[in-house]
Amino acid sequence: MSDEEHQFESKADAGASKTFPQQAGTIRKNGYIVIKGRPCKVVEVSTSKTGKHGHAKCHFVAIDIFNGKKLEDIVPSSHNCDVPHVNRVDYQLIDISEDGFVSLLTDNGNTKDDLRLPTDESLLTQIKDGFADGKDLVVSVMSAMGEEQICALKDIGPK
Amino acid sequence: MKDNVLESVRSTVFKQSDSLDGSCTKIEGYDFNRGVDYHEVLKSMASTGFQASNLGDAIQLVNEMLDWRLSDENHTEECSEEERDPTYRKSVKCKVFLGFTSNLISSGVRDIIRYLVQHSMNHFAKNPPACISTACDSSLFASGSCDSALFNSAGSVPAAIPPTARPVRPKPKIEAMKDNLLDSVRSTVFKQSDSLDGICTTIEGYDFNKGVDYHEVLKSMVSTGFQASNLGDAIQLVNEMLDWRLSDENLTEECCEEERDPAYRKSVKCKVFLGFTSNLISSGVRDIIRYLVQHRMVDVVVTTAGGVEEDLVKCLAPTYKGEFSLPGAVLRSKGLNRIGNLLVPNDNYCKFEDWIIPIFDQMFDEQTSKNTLWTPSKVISRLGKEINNESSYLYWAYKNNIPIFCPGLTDGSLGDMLYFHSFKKEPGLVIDIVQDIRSMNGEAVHAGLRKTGMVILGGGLPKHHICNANMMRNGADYAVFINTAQEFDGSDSGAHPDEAVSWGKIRGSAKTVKVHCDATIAFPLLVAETFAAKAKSSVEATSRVKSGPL
Repeated sequence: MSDEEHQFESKADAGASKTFPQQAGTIRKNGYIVIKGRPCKVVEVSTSKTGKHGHAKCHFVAIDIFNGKKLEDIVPSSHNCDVPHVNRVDYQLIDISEDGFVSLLTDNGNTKDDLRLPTDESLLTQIKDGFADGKDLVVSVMSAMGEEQICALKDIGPK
Repeated sequence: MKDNVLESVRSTVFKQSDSLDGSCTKIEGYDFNRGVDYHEVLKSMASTGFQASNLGDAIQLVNEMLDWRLSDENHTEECSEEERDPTYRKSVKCKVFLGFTSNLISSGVRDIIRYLVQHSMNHFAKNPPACISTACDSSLFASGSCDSALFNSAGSVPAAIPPTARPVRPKPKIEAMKDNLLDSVRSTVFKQSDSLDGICTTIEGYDFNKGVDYHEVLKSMVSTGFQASNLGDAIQLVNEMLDWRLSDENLTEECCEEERDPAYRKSVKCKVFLGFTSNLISSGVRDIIRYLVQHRMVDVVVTTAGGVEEDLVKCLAPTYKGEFSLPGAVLRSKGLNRIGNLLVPNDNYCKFEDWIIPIFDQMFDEQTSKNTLWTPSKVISRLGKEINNESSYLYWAYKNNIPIFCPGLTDGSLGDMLYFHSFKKEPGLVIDIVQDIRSMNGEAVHAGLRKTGMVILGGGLPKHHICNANMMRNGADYAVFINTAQEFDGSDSGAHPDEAVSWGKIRGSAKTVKVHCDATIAFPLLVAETFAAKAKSSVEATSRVKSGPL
């Protein structure tokens, strides 16, 4: 399965791998898996035992963590799959620019400006409205395999 | 801890199949390349599978029974002086009870039984003779078998039983009426039968006093009755089919120059369609079929998915003899798959997967880069090329350009492999069944002046697919069905050749036979008397069969 062996190059920090191999038979529901090069969260796993179809196989149904698409894959359970390193970091929302980028405050006081607004409708309105209202917002940014996206919002300010 | 988890997952999911090597017989049929050695054909039945194996086991069992002597047993305390004498003990044999139903005495089996009883009398003077039990019919001919035996001693099915003569005397009216009644009943029931002498074959089984001449035993089947007769007829039919030449037919007006040439006409043979179900490839019949394909004795082959993959799997690892009665749950826990009384370890299919997936990868690449359009027959041909093993019939079909059609290619382990492969290389192989139906029907339609014959083992898809193709040429000229299916449920599998005639799948003028018998027993015997018998005695095939990959 050569697809799964590929190491994807990260934009931010070179050297650290974005995925790690794990035996297919050990990947559980709510874990993460790379399917067709996309990082996904596993929603369903079923195993068919060794039989007429050959080696035992794991059938994964997973959702792309960035675009929500449903993907599926069948892998022999003794094979290794790529599992993405998924990180969640919270940043304080400083500004929203006109062309759809956000400005975030990092831990060490710098700004992070390369992130776009999320495409998810409800999240987008929440951020825009919340920011327009002047609320103090903290956004959770999920990153995996060189991609980043705002996935959640928190209102920390007193009101 | 992670390793422990891994180990437990691996042991649950990847069930290592127990190795059967050494503990179970490997399944292997007779190799007709050795010539027609009937004794060896019968010996090979034990390792052929299904009912052939049961027959082989029965033969071993009966021989054991006949070989037993009291001297094989230990002395018991109750033994008398005489019973301890070694010479006496060596003379004491097993007591054999023989039972049979009346229909068998109507058939040629009567002569086999006569032989057994004839020699029991001579050789067992000291010991009490074996008991014989027969059925008692409540039919008008009373104590069925005894009477049948008597009738048969007359040499043919008897003419009418003459009504008994009655004394003539005057009767009162009531008596007269009774007599009239009796007479009319008698004339209804004791119908004068037409004489069949000279018109029909007399029933007569093989006489073992001639010795054990297998060829004669098989020849005698024609006159033995029931399915033996059907098998005997099938043998005659197949020989006729193989002997037919275009030169036997009259010239028709549409014949062109070439088709009028006598030498050409003498070279044109019947086109033979061979069909069989997958279980037969799991059994030793696979080796019989390999012989036919190896020597170009058939023109078109139709089978199901298992008929393809089981042949390939056998090149990677053998199938073993088991029993019908082995419990399923236990077999599952040991990673063994049961096919009737055969066993295939899971491991065999794992080897198959490891072998075939890279080939599918190559085929997929050819599909995308060279625009190859795969069909089931092309896939099978490619697999025959890749297996490159002389024990495989697919290999010989590839070498001899004999097409193998399998519209249901996905209905087996092959389908599972294609399914998994389609995830690996989306959207997967594209396999065109329409192109194949053009080819298959084309084989029948473009047979031209050749007659066509069908030899079909089993029912299901192979049976219908071949019959349907022949419908396109208004019917086949020869048909032999060997299967155990019944027609009472209206199934196509159980349908007799005559039903196919109603569809135009077989010609009204065709010669047809259905043999109700497990093909594992009937087919090796049929081939011994037909295809193999006609093969030239000199070695036709240039290569000998090897059991492992080249």
